Amino acid sequence: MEAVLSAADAISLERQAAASDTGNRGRRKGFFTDTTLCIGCKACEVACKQWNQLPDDGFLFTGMSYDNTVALGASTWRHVAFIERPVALSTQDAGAFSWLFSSDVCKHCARAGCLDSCPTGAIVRTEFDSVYVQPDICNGCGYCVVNCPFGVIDRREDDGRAWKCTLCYDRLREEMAPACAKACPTDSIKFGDLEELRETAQERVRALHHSGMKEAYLYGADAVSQPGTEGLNAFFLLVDKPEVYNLPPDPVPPLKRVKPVWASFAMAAVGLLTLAIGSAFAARR
Amino acid sequence: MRYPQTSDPVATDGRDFDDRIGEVSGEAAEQRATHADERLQAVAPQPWAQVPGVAEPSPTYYGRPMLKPPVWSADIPLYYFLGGAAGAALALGAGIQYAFRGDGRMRELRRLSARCHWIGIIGSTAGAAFLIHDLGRPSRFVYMMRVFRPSSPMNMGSWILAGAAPAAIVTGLFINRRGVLGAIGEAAGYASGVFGAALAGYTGVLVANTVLPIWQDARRWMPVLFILKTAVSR
Amino acid sequence: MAECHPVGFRWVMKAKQRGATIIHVDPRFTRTSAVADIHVPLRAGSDIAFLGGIIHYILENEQYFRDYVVNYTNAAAILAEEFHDTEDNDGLFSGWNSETGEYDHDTWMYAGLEIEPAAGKRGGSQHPTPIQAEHSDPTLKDPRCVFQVLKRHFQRYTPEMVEKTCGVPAPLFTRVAEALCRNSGPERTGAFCYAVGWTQHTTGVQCIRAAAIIQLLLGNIGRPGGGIMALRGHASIQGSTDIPTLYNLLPGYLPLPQAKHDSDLKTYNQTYTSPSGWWGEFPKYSVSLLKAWYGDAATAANDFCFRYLPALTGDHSHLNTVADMAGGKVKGYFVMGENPVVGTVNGGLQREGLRALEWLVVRDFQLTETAEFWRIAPEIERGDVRTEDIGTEVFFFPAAAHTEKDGSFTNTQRLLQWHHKAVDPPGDCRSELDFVFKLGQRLKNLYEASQDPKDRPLLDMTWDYAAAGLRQEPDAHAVLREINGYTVADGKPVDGFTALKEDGSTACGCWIYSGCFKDGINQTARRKPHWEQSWVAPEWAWSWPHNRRMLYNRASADPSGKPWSERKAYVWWDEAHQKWTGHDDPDFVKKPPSYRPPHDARGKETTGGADPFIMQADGKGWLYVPSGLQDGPLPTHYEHQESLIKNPLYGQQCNPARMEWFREKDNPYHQPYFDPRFPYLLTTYRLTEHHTAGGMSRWLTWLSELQPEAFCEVSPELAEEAGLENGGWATLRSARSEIETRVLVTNRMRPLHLNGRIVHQIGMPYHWSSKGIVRGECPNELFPFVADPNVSIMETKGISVMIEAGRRVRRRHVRSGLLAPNLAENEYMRDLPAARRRPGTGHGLKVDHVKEGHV
Repeated sequence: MEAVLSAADAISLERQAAASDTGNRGRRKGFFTDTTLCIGCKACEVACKQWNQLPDDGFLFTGMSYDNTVALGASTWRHVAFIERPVALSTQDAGAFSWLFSSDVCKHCARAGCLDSCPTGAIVRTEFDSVYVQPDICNGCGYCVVNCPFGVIDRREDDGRAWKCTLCYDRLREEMAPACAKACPTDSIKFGDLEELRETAQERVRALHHSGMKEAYLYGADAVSQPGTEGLNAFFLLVDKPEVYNLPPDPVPPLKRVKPVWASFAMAAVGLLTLAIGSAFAARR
Repeated sequence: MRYPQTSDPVATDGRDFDDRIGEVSGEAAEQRATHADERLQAVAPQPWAQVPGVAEPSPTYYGRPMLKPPVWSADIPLYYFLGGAAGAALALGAGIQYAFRGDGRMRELRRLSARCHWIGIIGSTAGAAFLIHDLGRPSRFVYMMRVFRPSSPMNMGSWILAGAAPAAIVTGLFINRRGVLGAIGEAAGYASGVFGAALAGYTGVLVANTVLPIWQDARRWMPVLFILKTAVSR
Repeated sequence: MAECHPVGFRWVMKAKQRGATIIHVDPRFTRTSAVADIHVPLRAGSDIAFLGGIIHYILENEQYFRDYVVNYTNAAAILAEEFHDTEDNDGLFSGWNSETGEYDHDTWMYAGLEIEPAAGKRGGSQHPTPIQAEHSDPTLKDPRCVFQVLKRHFQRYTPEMVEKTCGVPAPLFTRVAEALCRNSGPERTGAFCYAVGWTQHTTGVQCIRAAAIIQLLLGNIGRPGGGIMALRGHASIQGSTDIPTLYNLLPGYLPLPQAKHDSDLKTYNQTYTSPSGWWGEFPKYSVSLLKAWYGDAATAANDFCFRYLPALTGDHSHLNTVADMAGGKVKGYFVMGENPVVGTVNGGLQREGLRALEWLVVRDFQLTETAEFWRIAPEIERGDVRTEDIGTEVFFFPAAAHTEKDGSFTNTQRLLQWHHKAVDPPGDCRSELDFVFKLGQRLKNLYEASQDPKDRPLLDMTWDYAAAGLRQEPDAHAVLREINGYTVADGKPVDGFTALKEDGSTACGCWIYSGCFKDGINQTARRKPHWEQSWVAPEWAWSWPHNRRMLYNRASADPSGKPWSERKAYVWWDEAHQKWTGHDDPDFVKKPPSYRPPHDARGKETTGGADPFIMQADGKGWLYVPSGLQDGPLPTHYEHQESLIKNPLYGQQCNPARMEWFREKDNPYHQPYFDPRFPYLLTTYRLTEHHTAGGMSRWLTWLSELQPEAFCEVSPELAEEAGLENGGWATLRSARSEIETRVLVTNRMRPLHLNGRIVHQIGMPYHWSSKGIVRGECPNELFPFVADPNVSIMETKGISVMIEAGRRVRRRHVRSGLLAPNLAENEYMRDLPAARRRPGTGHGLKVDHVKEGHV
């Protein structure tokens, strides 16, 4: 693998990007967010809000570098993290400092905690393998909020329902790429067929390693590297620990751990009945 | 409203739309937004007061939680208490019913068992009311029974509650009647016992089946704890 | 660039993925630095010292592209003996006149002749002979040749001096210089991108000049992957200099006539027609412009209505005009799509000017601070000024956005890109085109019956663009068609500027844009994807001149016409077909590389076949500028008007020719250095999330939530020194004003070590002010009126200020004497010797200084 793209390769990538708008139907789609290409411009945040017509989150100065939207939430479906590190990137000549950006989004997990836990069936898996909340079904029970291992989905209090990224379901149905990927000027957010994205991502990591950026790695690219979620449909290329980006190092949807809980529940319930009957019999004597 | 006290007040609904010109029809177009500043005020009431940096060996993102806190209000603990008490009462009621089946002294225990059933009826219906009140969209509470989804303890709980409350009511109404109604009442009594036991315990699964670390770590003990709690509470 | 031009930065990131090295030089660590390979923090305002250091490095280490330098630049030209460099004069060039505060340029000429600048200010000499034959030394050894002068001029710009002046450690500086040189030569090229971080200084033009010298020495001009990119402040700023909103230019860089000099068309044409080089074509363009504007009324007999053109009486640049306003000399003012109260220096003086107007017209999306200066302003809040005392009548016109109108943007690559109207503008919002067109119509109607000859210019003006629709909006295509030009007889669009004539048979609204409507087709609306055409992509939109994607592309081939290397082949001489060919539209069509001009050649025939810089009188890239600049033929490091340190290089502290405005109370200056009241350096800039003075972003929720409040950025070291806390408040103060703002303490700001002294820099974006959804106080309030002498650009990239923790004391009268300077002037010299008067003094009018042919 050459570290340097040839002109022909670059143009063919361009063409691919332009063609990513078509051929959505019935295929597994996702995002590959390459944080080493992110310039923190927040175009994804704005494009997302504009396309989906999301309201603002208020106007509070947070003092958190250039991040004033803080986290993903009911009305923020793309969020760019700004991390000021006292450590240099291995390929950068800029003193002991680096500034990392990462555009976070719903991961559309292969095993999605929110979907499994949704009591109403409002959360469904679409034909694009994305996880989608139907706003006309959701009754705002809030259970998905505590079932997301990434802290993505949230209930908007004045609206009452849970909201999160839809992977631009409406755009996908019209054979268009999601708004954030379309708006990303540096192709840090890549949208496409999951299998192809995984290949692109592997190649990118190899190229980065080749150019000296040994710290680059993929987060959640597949079930092997992230067995808890069984892989993310929106995965990331990171250069520091996941926690630095406010991502969990080992996310597991609670459902995967709940079997023994049901067992102890059954035992306890039987115990309770036994206790009830026992105490009644005791009273009889 | 921003800057309400200034000579130049600014109002915003959170979206840059002039609805006289365009129609809002995006995925989140119907998201109601009346208190725009609320979320940020909740998560970031004060600016981060330190120099931004990354603290090794256990870095955080400006000390912000990685997970979302539960959105539930005081309704839910109230429900845990009421539902639990109701469940345990129903179980006890059924226990009495079983222990004294065909027994002449049954009548002497009628008042106790009736009290159990009434606790069950009031607890489960009032609990359900609190549950519904806590929903973001209470009018859609019936959607809880749209699907049967074993993977969702809340869905299971809904079915359990939906079984327990009517069973308790039927028991309360018919258990001491004669004939067919009495038989129905008796059957309902046993059913409410089983539902009651489940009702008392499923909430333990419900809270264990979350990503919140403190609940997850104790997940195996959760149902037992919840049931113990209900057993104590009666 | 990632910060302010994220979309353009797409291509930088593509280049990076293909192996390019990105070097970012900026006082602070920005989003660009975050992805750059090398970040160089330097002291704001020390750019020429830094670039001069690179020039020194190239010359000392013989890293220049010798064949290119010898053949394509004026390195070999011999200078007049009267020329003296700053080396001989402690920072002043020869010709300094301390009486007038200006340079006399005569001594800067090449030996034996007078040369013409490329554009703008041209004189009227009659020396047609190209220089290379007689007064040059191709061995570059002559002590008076440009190359040797350059070497001497930059000899003190050593890495050590760079460290002392810029605060850049010498090893880091050397790594940058090495990387640049390594990436130059026949096989490789490098590009410079800059924005107002270079221009908004009293030495703004010379910063760009310094980069031009580097690029010429390294052979990076006119070659693929080379060049100097001016990243403009906002969309189509390039367009608004091509078809200018500047006071002293007509479309296509034709100068406005001088009132005292250019009395008729013949004189005007004679003055500005260069005897050599492309500007020999001047009359074709001026006459065609007059024909476009005055139509049938323009005939050879009446000088094509030349006398209708407004003529210059002095310097009417923005700062001068505002100073004139404040002095009661200006009655009315149009502000279209600009918010000068926020975006320009010394907001207090800006508003003072507006208050003295009779009327003000503002066209914008929102009621900006400029539109409402009479209601919401610091001085009104303080109680210094009462609204009821302001007599200015303000007219506000809501404007249409670019999605609500047809039109074109011209970007920094001179690419005209058409945008189509998507929706009708709401309510009373109208496009600029519609507004100006209807204003013209109404004025014409108003004067319809007039017999007064002074009203003829208005009545004879062609103003007949087809209007359509309910609102009778003029068709933007009709305007583009006129800009393209046409033959008067049949109205057919011309193919390009080569078809223009000086006999009045053609009309053309802007000669450099001629060809954009070739064949009656809107060439600027072409959208062919680049994978369906060559990598130069000539069928994407249209670029001036002549759809040429790279200017001076003759330089991409060696003197004999062969590409310098296969890798960097662009255009070349096709020996078989005896013509130029290649990937782009070549500068030369049939002129063979071997062509040498005969002695009696005139105009463009004087440009030899191996002279790529066809717009220059001598066809050479100018390392040394013999004519056309006000402040010296070579870039020289001068300090800011208000610096923290004494100029480490020369006794002359500031740019001697800078424009200053000495006014009693509203524009006081700090001491030039070591001002104890103002120990920190403030620099301003923009953020990705907001747009310039905020008219397009501060009213939008989705942008406002991303950067909701004004803030300044300081290093942890300065925070400790001044007691500042991240997320807390600070007050910034200058002699002009004081503002309060939030604080971001960040390692992206670094204290610099200059010669044992620590310099703390404060950075602050200038987007916010007193209106909109999100607000804050604007740092431009703090800056004084002071400007570059060549283009009158304000200095916003560095002043000395004070910073204190906490919020501002309300209602403090900053100008009431508390902060007025009272230190002994003598110890602090800006000029050696001090100028008695200075461009910009008083109301800045230079009309008394006008010398024929040299304004």
